[in-house]
Amino acid sequence: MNIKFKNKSEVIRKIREIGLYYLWLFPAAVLLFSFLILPAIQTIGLSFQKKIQIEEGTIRNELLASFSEHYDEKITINKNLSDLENWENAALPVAQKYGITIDTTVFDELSQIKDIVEMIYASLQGKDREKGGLKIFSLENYKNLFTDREMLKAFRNNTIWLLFFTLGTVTFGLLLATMVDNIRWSSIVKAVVFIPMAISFVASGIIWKFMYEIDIDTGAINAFLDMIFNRILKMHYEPIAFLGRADTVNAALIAAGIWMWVGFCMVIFMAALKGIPSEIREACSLEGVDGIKVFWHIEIPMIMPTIIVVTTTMVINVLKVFDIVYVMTGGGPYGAESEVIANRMYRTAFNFNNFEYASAMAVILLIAVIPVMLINIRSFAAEQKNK
Amino acid sequence: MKKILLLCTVIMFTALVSCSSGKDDGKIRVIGTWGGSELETFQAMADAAGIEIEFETTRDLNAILTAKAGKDGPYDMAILPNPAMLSQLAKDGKLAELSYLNRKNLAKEFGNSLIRLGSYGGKLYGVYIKASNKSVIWYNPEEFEKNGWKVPETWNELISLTDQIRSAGKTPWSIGADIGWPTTDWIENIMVGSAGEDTYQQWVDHSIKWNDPAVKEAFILWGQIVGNKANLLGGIDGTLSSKFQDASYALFQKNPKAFLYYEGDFMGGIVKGQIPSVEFGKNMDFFAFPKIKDKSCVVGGADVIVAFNDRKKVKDFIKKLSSVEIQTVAAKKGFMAANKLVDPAVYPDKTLQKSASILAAADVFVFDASDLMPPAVGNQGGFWDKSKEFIKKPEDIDRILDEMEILAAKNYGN
Repeated sequence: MNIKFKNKSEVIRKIREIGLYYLWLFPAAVLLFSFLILPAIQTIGLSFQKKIQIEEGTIRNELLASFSEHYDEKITINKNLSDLENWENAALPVAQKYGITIDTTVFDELSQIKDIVEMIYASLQGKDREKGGLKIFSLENYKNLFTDREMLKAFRNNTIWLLFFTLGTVTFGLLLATMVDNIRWSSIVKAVVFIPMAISFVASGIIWKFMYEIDIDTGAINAFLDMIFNRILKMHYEPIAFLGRADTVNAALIAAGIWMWVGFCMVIFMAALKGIPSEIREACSLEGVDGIKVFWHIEIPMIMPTIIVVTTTMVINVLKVFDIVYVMTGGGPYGAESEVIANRMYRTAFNFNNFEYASAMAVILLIAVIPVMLINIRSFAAEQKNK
Repeated sequence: MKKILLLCTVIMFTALVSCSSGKDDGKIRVIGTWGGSELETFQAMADAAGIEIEFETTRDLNAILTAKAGKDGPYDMAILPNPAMLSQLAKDGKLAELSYLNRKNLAKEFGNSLIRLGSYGGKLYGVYIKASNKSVIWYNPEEFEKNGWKVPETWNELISLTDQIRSAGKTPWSIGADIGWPTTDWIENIMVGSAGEDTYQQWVDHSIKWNDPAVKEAFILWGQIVGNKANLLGGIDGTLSSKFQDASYALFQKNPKAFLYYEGDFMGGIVKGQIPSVEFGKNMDFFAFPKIKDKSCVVGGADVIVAFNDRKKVKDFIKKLSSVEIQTVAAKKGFMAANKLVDPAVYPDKTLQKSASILAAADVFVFDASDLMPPAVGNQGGFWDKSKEFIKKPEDIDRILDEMEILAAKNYGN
C-alpha cells in the first residue's frame, strides 16, 4: 500500500464511498447470481450427466424368466397371481437381486405379475431418490443432439428462421420507417403496424392459425386467394393447407413471426432516422440529390449502428423462437417438419422428463447466442465512445 | 460474503414460495384439461358432494405435473386423461395411495380392468370418473338414405362403401389430424380387430416389436382409406392441418362436404355445440366400428382422478367421487359413468345410451393403447407423429415402424 492519505477522515470517506458502490450493486448482484448465473451453471452441469437406472423392462424380463423357469411354462405379464401357487418363491430371486423385500400383503385377487414388476421398480426408484439419483458423467446428450433426426430438423429450421426472419423484419422495418412519414395518415399506418406488438404472441399465434386454415369459410388467406384467383381471374385455385405441408409450414410460421416483430423494428428505425440532423437533408435537397440516393448514401450509413443493434436483437430473438411454433404447429404437421430447438427443449424436459438432454439443448442455444451478444455489446460500447 | 448471498437467496425463495401457497382455505385445488361442459359436470359432482373446489384448466397437463406435482405442490388432485400418466406419477412417488378405498369392493362396481388401470405396484392411486367409447363411426342418416348407402358391418363393407361414395364423385371421409391422437385411435381400432386382444396387449407392453407383421398389417389396412387422397376431405394436407372438431362439422353442415367421420362418442356434444340444428338419430348418428375378423371390439378411454396428499377433505371427495350417487349425478349431465352400477336410463341423450349399448355388446374391450404406452412412445413425438407421417408417406411404412421400434426400445428398456 503506497497510497498516502492526508488524514484518517479521508480514509473513512473513501471506504464509505466504495462500500456504498457495493451496497447499491448488492441487490442486482444477488438477483443476477441467483436467477441467472446459478441456474446457468446448474444447466451446464446437468447437460453432462446421464441418469443411470434399471429400466422397468429389464425387471419385467428377469421376473418373467424366473416365473417361466419356476413353473416350467411360458408365463405372461398379465397372469393373475391367484392362479399361481407359491408365487413368492418364483419372485424371490429377482427381488433378492435388487435387495427389495416384497410386501405380499399388498396383493389381492386382482393382482398380476405386472404389479410385482411395478412394486420392485417403484421401490428401486424410491431408493434412488433418497440417494439423490444415480448419475454419471457422460457426453451422450451432446452426441444425441447431432444424431437425433428431430434435433437435426430443428437445427435446419432454426437456420431458416435465422435467415428469413431477420432479413424480413429488418428490411420491412426499415422500408416502413423511411416511407411511412411521407404519406397521409402516417400515424394510422404506424399504429396498425405496431399493434401486433401489443397482442400477446400466443394470441397472435392462434389468430394466424385461423388465418391459415384450408377451409375458405374460416381461413382468411385462402379466402383471399380464392377471391383473387377463382372469382376475379377465373383461374383454378385449390386452397392450400399452409400449416399442413412440409414445404409451406416454415414459410407460414416465419411470415407470422415477421408480422409480429416488424412494428418493433420500424419504431426503432424511425427514432434513429429522426436523429439525423435536418441540415443534412436540407443540404441534399438543395444540391438536388434524389431520395433513393439519400437513403442509400446518407441515411443507411448514418443509422448503421442502430441497424446492427436491431439485427442482432432479432437474431437473438429468432434463436430462441418458441411461442409461435408451440401454438401453431407444435413442431408438426408430421415428422418434426417445423420443429425448432426451443420447442424441442421444452418437450424433452417437461413431456419426456429428460432434463439432462434438454439442458444440453439449452447450452447449445446459449453458445449460439453468445457471439451475437458480443457484437451487440461492442456496438453499444462503440456508440458510447462516439458520444 | 458467500453466506450472506446464500441467506439472501434463501430469504427470497421463501418469500416467493409463501406468496404462492397459502393453502388450507378449505377449497380443494384440482388441475386438469377439462373446460366447458366437462368442467361444469365436474363442478356439479363437487357440489353434490358438498366440496368446494378450485379448478385450473391447462392444455399442457403433462408439463405442469412434471414440474409441480407432489405432496407439497400447489394442487391437491389432478384429473388425468390416461393411465400412463398415473403410472409415471406413481413411480416417481408423487401420488398419495388411496388406501382408504377397498380395491376388492371397488372392483365389483368398476370392473377389474379399470381398478388395475388405476393401480400401480398393487396399490390403488386413482378412481375413474368418466369413460368413453372410441369405436364409433359418425354419419348422416338423411344423406345415407338419399344416396341409398347402407351402414357397413364389416371392414370390407366399409371399404366398399368408401369406394362407392368416391365413385359417385363425392368425398367419403373427413379426418382431422392436426394433432396425432385421432390417428392413433384409428390404428388401435384396426389393430385390435385384425390382430386380436392378446396381440394388442403385447403391442401395448412392447412384448412384440413395432415392426412386427401384425402392427404393419394394421397400418396397411388403414392405408386402404387414407392411402387414397381422393378419400379425404381437403386431401392429405388438409387432413394433416385440420382440427378433429372442425373435420366433424363437414358431415352435418347444410351441404355436407364428406360423409363418414371416425372418432369417439363424445363428438356428439361437439357437433351439437357448433351446429345446433342436428338431431341425434335423425340427421346425425353413428354405427359401431366394423368388425375386421369375427369379433366386435371396442377401444375405450377414461379419465382418472388422483390425489397428491391425504388431507381429510381430499379423502372425503375421492370416496364420494367413486360412489354410485355422485357418478349418477355426472351421468345425468352426460358423462359415461365408469361405475357400472349407474343405471343406463339416467343418460340424458340417445347418443350415450346407444354408445353404452355398443360397449355392453362388444366381445372385446381394450383401453386406448397410445394412452397406456410411455408418453414418449405413445404421445407426441412418438405414435402421434408417426401415424400422421404414415398418411403423408405410406410407402415409408417400414422406416416409420423401425423408428417407432427404436423409440420404444429406448423407453421401455427392453
